[in-house]
This record gives sequence, structure tokens and C-alpha cells, in this order.
Amino acid sequence: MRVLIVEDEPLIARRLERFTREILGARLESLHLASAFEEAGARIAETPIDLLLLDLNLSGRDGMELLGAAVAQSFHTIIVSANLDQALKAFEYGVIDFVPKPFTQERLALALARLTERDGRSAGAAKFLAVRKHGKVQLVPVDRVLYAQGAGAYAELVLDDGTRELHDKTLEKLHALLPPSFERIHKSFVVRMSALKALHAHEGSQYEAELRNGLRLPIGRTRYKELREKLQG
Amino acid sequence: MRNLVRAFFVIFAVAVSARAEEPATVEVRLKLGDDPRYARADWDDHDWEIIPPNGFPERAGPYWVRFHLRRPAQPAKRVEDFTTGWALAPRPRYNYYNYEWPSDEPGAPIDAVVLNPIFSFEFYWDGRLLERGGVVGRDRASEIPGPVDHMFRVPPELMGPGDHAVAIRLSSHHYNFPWKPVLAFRLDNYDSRALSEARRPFLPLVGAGGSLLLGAACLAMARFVERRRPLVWCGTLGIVLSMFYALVAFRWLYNAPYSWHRPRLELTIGCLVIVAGILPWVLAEHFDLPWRRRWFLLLVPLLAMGFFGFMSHENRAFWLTRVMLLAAGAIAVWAIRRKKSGGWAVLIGAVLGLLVVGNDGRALGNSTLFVVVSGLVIFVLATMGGQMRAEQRRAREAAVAAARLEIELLKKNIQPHFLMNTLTTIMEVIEQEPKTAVALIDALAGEFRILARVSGEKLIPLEQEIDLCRAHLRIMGMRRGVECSLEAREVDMTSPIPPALFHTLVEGGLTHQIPRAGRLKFVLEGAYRPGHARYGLTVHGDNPPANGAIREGTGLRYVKARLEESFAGRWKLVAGPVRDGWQTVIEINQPPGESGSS
Repeated sequence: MRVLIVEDEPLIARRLERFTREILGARLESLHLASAFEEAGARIAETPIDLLLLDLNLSGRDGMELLGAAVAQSFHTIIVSANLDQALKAFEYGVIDFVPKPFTQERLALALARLTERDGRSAGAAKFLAVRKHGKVQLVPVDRVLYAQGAGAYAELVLDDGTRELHDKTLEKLHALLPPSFERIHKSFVVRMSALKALHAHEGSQYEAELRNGLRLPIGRTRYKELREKLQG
Repeated sequence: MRNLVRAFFVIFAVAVSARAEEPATVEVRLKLGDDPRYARADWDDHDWEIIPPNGFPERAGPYWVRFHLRRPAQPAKRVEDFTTGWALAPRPRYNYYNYEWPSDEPGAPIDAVVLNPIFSFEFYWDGRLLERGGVVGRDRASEIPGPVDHMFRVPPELMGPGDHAVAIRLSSHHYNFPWKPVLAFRLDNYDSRALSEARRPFLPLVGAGGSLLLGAACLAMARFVERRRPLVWCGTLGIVLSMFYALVAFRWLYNAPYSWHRPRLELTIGCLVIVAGILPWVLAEHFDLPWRRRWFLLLVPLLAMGFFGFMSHENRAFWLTRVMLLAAGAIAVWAIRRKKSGGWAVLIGAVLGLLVVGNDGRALGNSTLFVVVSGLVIFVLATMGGQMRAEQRRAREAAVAAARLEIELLKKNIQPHFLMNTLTTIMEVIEQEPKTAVALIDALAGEFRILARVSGEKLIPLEQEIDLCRAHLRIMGMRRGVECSLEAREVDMTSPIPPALFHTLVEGGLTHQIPRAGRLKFVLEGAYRPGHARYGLTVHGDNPPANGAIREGTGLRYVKARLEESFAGRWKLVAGPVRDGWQTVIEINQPPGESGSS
């Protein structure tokens, strides 16, 4: 895992680094420190990362813009901040966790586990998905998303009016941020459960989900049974 | 508005000119010397000196005055008393020297004499003594002055048709007016006249009681509620006006000697001068008229003219009342033009007063003044009530603002960004280098100790403020791994400063300034001259890019609110980049003698 720590206080940065190294151990591929997110921009463009540990004062416009810029990227973001009252806002923007200061190694390990474990989910639920469009960050309300389709390193968001937005995160990372009302029905599809109208089983273990707007999406063989139970339950 | 002013002056001119003397219709004859036979009805007085009815010898006597009344077959129409009106409907005026025999009214025949002599006298009707006023004497010692107001019946057998001789034996040694004595004489019906005489003190007494109550209430409020100038003025106005009315009423309530008549009138007019001066002044203060002292000096000769410029006390009263109302009206016109609230109310009051005053001819006896002054007092009280409410609200708001600032000050240091980051650093150093941890905790405790001490204060000595800044810089230096310092140059350590003023600016510098070569140096420079203090706080570091404008964050708002709280309107704050950092300059003006130290 490639990690970038953005923290302007050297002692706290040192603490974050120490804990990250101890928790991730051999799984850590690289770790870099920066004192401000703006500074780290160039580095991220050159050498992609998987996780950003960000100390961000979210009060004010600048903080929210920076947060939007961070969560629109391909990597996951964990906010490490003293301002616990901003946690809800951060989750709405789609961070994987919010670690309040002062923090222990155990708390940081819990946050990192959300990335390292299979099917790890965010500690909150995103209300917006930040997408980069023409070099700017736009916030797409999660309520408008019908489903997301994986496209390699990206994910395509399909909205209720049929428009499509490209997100820099993989489908897996995106799913980790979405609320529990979204279900993975296929290795390439995450669908809002309330958008489902019916499930269809065809010959040769071919399954399809019919959405309320008539669209049909494939269902993974291994996921059909679980999905049907959830719908009936 | 110009027409209104012109109308005022026209009315004025009419009012003043309406008092010309009118010729007597009866010949009044004078004989110096004393002889009881002069009283006889048939005494031959054709060789006596003819004098005007207002031309009696003063400080003389005893002497005799005679005139003849003729009861006509067709008596003249009776003319009512008190009809000196000018404004609404000009009415004929009763002439006190027109000794005519009026007509009988149904049920109210002429049967009495009304006499207002300002001398001691014996009154003979067809040779018979009908009335005596005091004791006629040869000099001041032997004369006993009698009362001014007399009314007595004439026996019916003496009221027959034809000629009737009136003879008056009199002496005027106690006479004290600057002109010759007059004889106000008229024939009337006893009962109806008695009734109207009984009514005369009624309005003055209402005025006296009402004004006294009004004035006492204002003074009591000024004494026991809050001492305010308008209250004191209104109280004085009420008391003086009450004295005025009491002096007016006095004539009808006590049969005082005629020698008291003039001093009483002078006192009455004196009271009126004071009232006519205070009322416009209260208005001028109320509307905050500029140059009001100079304007008042303009009013002084007009008031003086009212006191000295007229013979009759009626004209003096009319003049003074009108000058007062015109001044009030002029101030009201100014107030209206300046769009001050209440201007119209005062103007309407002044115009109504001008229309009413003197309309029934009773210069002193009516209650116009009382109504006008009560209206003004109520107006002033109402406005003052509004002001007091507004002041209370401001005081409440100021108290709330002070509480909010105190909370803000405490919040600054328990705010998560500072406290939690410090605690995180402490956690790290405890695990890694316990000795540093102890120093850091000590510094944190130091900062909190100072804060606890100053948080409730509005102003603290600069020394405490500098201690607070240095404690904060110690912590931040350790946290940031940067050498932070504050140097104080030429500052007066005792001068008062709102708490956390520079502390807040230091915090801002720490947040926004980039350390240079691992150092962030703050320099506080002071410059003082009497009543003035100037502080420049410079942080030597690198300005972050795109940092030209002054940052109006919560920190700067706190600083400005604190300065405004302690030095309302007498401070200035300028902040901006300087050659090697950022500088904030605060200037405070303090009036000499005012020590803000708490």
C-alpha cells in the first residue's frame, strides 16, 4: 500500500508515520510526508497512492474544497483531525474514516482495516460523490445515483436521469463509500436496491436484474441467491 | 411654511395693537381736599377739574372724585366682559372706563356696582355711603389699604330713572404702579356677576394643581428613578407654572390689600418669563438644536421686552406667551426640516396655542399655558421613555456582547484545533521523549493559568498579555519544531489591553506565516504619547503566496470586538504585509485622565 501523510505538525506526522508502519508492516509499499495537501499534489500526480492520511481544518470554504479535491481522486482518504464536529461533513463527502485527535495506534489500525480487509466499508455513508470534470471537482448527490459500473481503474456513475459521470475510484473503492442501500450485484455493477424492479433467471445460470426504468443489468452467479434473499427479506 | 410664519406675524401685530385706549363717555371730576359735603347728591361740582378715568392723582389724598350716571330710557346693549379676542372671531371689547348704564337682562336687572380700585375709598351713591375699601388717610401711616375687588348692591330706591351722582373719597398713599391710578367701574347684576366671579379662580387653580403635580412627578422621577436633564427642566417648568397659576388664583381667593396688587402681578409675569424661557430651551435640547445658547440669547431681549415693554400685565402675558409659542414653533419647523420625530406634534401644539391664547381676553386666568406645557411635558416624557428603553436595550446588548467575548476567549483555548493537536503532540512525546512531554505540559498549564486569570477581565496589563503570548509560543514552538519568540520593544508593561488581543494576532501569525530558517519571530513595539498608544506587532517570516488582502477571520473579528468594547470608536487597526513578514498596527486614543486599567 502506498500512503501519503499530510500533517503540518512534525511530531504528529512522526506519530502517524510510526503507527502506519507498525500497522501495515510488510504491506506498506511506500510512505511519504507532506505539510500541506497543496504541496502533495505534484507528488500524487507522479506516483499514485492508495491512501491519504489528511489533517484538514474543514471549517471554511478552503477546507471543503480541499476535501472535495481529495475524495475525487482514485485513492481513499482518512481524515485525521482535531475537529470532531466536522466528521459528519467529511463522511458525506466520502472519506473512508475520520480519526479524531488525539489518537491511539488502535484507532488508526481500525481505520486502516477498512481498506485492507475484504469488503471493508466506510465508517459513515457518503452523501455526495466528488467527480473531476474539466479539471474541476463536482459533487454528485448519492441519492441521484442508480448504479455504478466498473471500468478498469475508474467507475461510471449512472444517474436517475440517465447521465453518466466518470469517477476516478475503482468500483470496489466506490462501493466502500456508498451507503448500505447499494449492493454489489456483479463484479462490474453496484446498484441501488430501491431501483430494482425484478430479478430474472434465464437458462444456463444467466441472471438479470430489471430496474424500474426498464434497464437490465447482469447479476453475478455467486451473488444471485444472496440478492434474492435480501429483496424478499 | 413661509405663509404660516407670515400669519404668525400678522396675528402678532393685531394682538399688540388691539389695546388702544378708548375715550370715556362720562366726565370724571376731581377735587383735591376733603369735605364730607362733597358726597352729597346735589353738590355742585361743575367747577371741579375734569380728569381722564385713568388719570387719578397717585400717592395723594384724601381727595374726591365725582361723576354722574344717567339711567337712560333706552339703555345701551350690555357688552360682555373678557372679550379681548383677536383670533377666531374679533368681538367688541368691554371698556372699563365707559361708565354707561347697561340694559337689564330678563331675570337679571342691574342692581350692583363692580369696582376695582387700587386705592382706599369711600363710595357714595346719591349721597349714601354704599361701600368702603380700607381706611382713607392723609399719609401712608394713616391710610389702611383695602382690597382691589369690590361688588355691592345699590338699594332699589336709588336706581330710579334719571341722574345719579357717584362720589368717591379716596387716598392712594400705598399706590405703587408706575402710572396713575384708574377706576375700573361698571354696573351689573349682582347674582350673575357673583357667579362669574366665583368661577374665575377655577381654571387657574386647575392649572396650579395640575402643574404642581406634573412638576413634582418629574422632579420625583429625576430624584428617585434617573437624573436626566429633561426631567429636571420639566419639573422646574411645572413648579414655576404652578406658582404662576397660584399667583393668578390668589386674587380671587384672598382679599389682599391693593398695595399687594402690583408685586403679585410682577411675580406672576416673572414666573411667566421663566416658563417662556424654559419651554423653548427644553425643546431646543430635546431636538439637539445647534448653537442653542446663541439662539437663546436672541430670545432674551424678547423676554425682557415682555417684562418691561408693556404697561398692562395682560399685554405682557400675551406677549410672553406668544414669544414662547413662536419660539417653540420655530424650533419645531427646524426639527421638521431635519426630519426629527416629534417636530409636527410640537408645531401643531404651538399653532393651537397661538390661536387660543388671549382668545377669551383673560390673559392670566385661562389655562392655555397649562395645556400647552402639559402637552410638552408629556411629549418630552414619552420621548425620554423611548430613549430609556433604547438605552436599556443597548446596555443589555453590551452585557451580552461582553459575555460572548468572554466565552469566545475561553473557547479559543479549549477549541479542538489547539487543544487536541497539543494533546496529540503530548501523547507522542510521552512515548518518545518524556522530558519534553513534561515541559510541554508545563507550558500548556502556564497558558491556561494566565487565561483563567484574565478571562473575566475587560482590560489587563500588557505584561500579562505578553506572558500569555509567550506561553502560547512555547507550546506552538514545541509542536511545530520551530523556534518561536516574542520580543517586546519599548512597551509600557502596565498599559491596559483587552485580554488575548495580541495572543489572537500571534495565533494568526502562527497559522498564516511560514517560518524562515526554522524561526518565527514576533516583535511587539510600543509608542506612547499622552492619551494615545500605538502598538505594532510584526511577525518575521515568509508570507504565503496569494496573501495580499487582510484576512478578516474569527480572530480579527474578536480583536476588533474587544477594542470596540473597551475603546468604542477610539481605536484603529491596520494590517498588511511588510518587507519581511506581516504587521498589525493598533492605535488607541484614550481621553486624558481615563484609566482603563481594571
